Amino acid sequence: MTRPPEPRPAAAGAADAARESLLTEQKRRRWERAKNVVGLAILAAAFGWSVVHVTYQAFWKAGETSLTGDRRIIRFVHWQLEGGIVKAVDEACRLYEKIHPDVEVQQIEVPERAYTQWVRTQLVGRTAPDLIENRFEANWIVRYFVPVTERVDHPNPYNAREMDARLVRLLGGDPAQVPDLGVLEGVPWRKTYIDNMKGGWYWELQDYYAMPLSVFTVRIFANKNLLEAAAGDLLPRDPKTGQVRGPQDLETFFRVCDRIKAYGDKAGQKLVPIAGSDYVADIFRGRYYERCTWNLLAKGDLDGDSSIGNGERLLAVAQGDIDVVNDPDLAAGHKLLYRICQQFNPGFMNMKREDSVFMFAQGKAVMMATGSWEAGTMQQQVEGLFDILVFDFPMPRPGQPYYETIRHRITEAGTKSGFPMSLTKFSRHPDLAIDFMHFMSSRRVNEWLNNKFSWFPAVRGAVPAPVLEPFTPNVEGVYCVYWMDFGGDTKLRYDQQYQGFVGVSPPQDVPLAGWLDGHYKRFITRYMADYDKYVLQDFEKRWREAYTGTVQTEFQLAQARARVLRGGLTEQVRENYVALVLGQSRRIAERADDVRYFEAAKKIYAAKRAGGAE
Amino acid sequence: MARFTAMETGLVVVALLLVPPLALAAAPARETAAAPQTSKNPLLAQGWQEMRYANHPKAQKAFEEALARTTDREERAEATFGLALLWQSRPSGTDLPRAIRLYEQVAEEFGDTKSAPWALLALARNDDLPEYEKGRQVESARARYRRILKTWPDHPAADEAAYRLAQTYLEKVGDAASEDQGVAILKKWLARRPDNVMAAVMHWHLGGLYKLRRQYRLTLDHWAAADKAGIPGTEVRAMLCLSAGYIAEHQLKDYALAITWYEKITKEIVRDDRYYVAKIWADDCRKKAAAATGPAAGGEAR
Repeated sequence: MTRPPEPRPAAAGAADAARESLLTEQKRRRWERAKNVVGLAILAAAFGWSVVHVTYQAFWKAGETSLTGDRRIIRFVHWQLEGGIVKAVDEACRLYEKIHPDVEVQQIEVPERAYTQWVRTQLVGRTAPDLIENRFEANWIVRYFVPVTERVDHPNPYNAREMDARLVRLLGGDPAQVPDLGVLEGVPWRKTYIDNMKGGWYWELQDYYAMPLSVFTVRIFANKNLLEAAAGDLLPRDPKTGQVRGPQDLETFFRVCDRIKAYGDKAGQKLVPIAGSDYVADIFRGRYYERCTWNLLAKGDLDGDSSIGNGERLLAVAQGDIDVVNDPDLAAGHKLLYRICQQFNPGFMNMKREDSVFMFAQGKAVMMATGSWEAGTMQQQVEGLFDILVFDFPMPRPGQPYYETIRHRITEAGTKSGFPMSLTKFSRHPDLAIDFMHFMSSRRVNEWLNNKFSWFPAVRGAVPAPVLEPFTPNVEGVYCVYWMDFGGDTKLRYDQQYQGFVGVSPPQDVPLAGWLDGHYKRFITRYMADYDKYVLQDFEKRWREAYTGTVQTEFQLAQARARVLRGGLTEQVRENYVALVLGQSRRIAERADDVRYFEAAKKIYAAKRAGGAE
Repeated sequence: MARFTAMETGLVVVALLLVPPLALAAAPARETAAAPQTSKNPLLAQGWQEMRYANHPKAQKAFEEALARTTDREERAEATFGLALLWQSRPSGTDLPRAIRLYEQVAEEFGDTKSAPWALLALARNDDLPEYEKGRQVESARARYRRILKTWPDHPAADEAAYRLAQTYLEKVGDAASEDQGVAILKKWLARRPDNVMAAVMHWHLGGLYKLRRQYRLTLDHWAAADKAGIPGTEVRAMLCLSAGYIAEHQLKDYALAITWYEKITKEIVRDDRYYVAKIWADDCRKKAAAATGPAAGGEAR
């Protein structure tokens, strides 16, 4: 048994306690002081860092010359961090520096998620780089970017024969051994682009504000190895190489999907035909829904201008020229989309683009739909795992289901060039920055650069990499003529109900066709009930806003008139001036039509409601 | 341990705070992008360029300086016009009453300068297309358009004024008398100045009107004239050509004419979404034309 400690006298205990308390207080103070010192040190370090950063930005990075003062600097920012792009752009920068030893080109890569925020901060802080990949609205563009309209009608000096030969040598080739691409010599810069530089033209501002670098299209990507293993016998083969090709028609495509499911089941794998997500579903929806609208042109084009304007659409539906609930083409299109979505993984609407890319790259899905911008990255990601096959969205053949609805694909004739780089107002070397863009968009460099990116070049005559052949914009096809909503509430209801429509699995014990008829009918009837409820308010909002839009064009027109005043009627000034007057007059005429269509539709809906009430 | 007085600490902080602004201030001014500078007065040229790049305070300063320094009437009028445009269109804070006062000053005090008709046109447009639709003053706009036509009949501003004046009558859809008045204005102007700046727009509008009146030959005649005068922009041109072909094919049953219109797209406007549609419709027309001429040629087909 241990003895308990003897109690200490009370006075001694109090003294000890006081000493203890003093020591504790001293320790606490020392700790507080130490904390203050550390805090101040952090504050001073942060302040010091900010001073260094701002000075660095002002004098060097955003400045006009390098630290040694012997080189001018241009900075170039984009969000294309896909594999190989940063490296290729960097190589292009170094090549440019070889031609211009007094220049340094700095590439800044910002992840897409932070891009808008980062660039806006730089623009507002007036520290923005010279060239920015543009993804901004007109009000930002006019405030922070410089129009390049005066430049685009002048030739690109890097397309001149002499310079072209120099570029060939720089890229490691022999000018005598490569085809002469000098035919673009003397051609206005905008006309050297496949799309005549439409990708750099901002209609609402009536100016060129961007210099694009690539062209993009959308296709289906497939895991060639799995596709061949699961359904090789259903697929055509290249007569020369014997390599498997994509399904040539829509029914084969569905048979391939069935085979993939069976192959997965047999192998005990969770294998889905198409890696689904909201992103992939939207791509398929765009490709197939738009195709199925073409037959509606005959029903809804009330003024015979080969399109169905918003007012025509409103009236055509109101007076029953287009019977949305019973329209066979809209029904076929939606049912087709349902069948396609059934090939996706369950819960695809809650998944994002990255999820479907991951799923495809892991070999858990055999196909996915995405754009040519993903071609290079995808190749890198799956290298050593499987080969990729790219093919266009299959069409029905004569006699097959959906053929009467979908006879034509959607055209890519009007595809605009992308990866648009814009010159900021804060550029210290605007002429140099434009010269750099001349270099990047010269036929020789644009071809070389895009081949490195595995993207499609934007410049005429530039030959794409063989892997991009399936992405070649196809001019054959029609255009979408009918949309299901008018924005606002009609769009909200359509999107919600469409998700419900495609997101439901069919019951196991009933034939799909019969069940789908009823499922579609319920979806479209419910949607059209909402449409009837909200369409007039959504449409009225549109044409009321259209007046403001028309007034806005008067500001651009005022600028165009000022250009005539100060420069006279040169060809370009005249074209711009007439384009603005014509554009505004079209808006005025369309709005007047819309008001007439609206009044007529309003009467029809009022009569319907009165009839319903009775 | 060295101790700093409050004064010393303050000075250090102030010095540190001053570094970044001084650094920025010391940074050399940027080069200016080379753009056409047509105004002879460098201050005016600078004003226009700054306005184009939306540097409104700098543009204002340049115009005001130009106004203060020059005695040349043309230059003074141009500077005032520049200021009016600036107050009319600056994205952050327009001052329309001020802009109108300045436009009026140009139109009244500098009536003999090349800026005057543009200023009057700006005033007319403000009456015709004000910020809020309720404020529209059509009669005042018409009076101003007419004054431009009378005072400066050979000026490019008069071409737009003639079109806008006609537009105020043509917009009354279904009012035949008003439409006829608009048509008369356009026809008179086109007869007087067939190659005027707005000829394409005038013919485009007349074609559209005749289409509504189901006078399809006249529609196509005017659209052909519009195309000849130069419809700007491939998209608008493709739209017009496809509509014209459609009318020729379906309303006039003139397949050869329809093919001519469709081929304008297939041969000249390949990079437009209407290209393929024009191609298949032209093929349809060829088949229809062959079917129409086949039996007539021999009769054996029957």
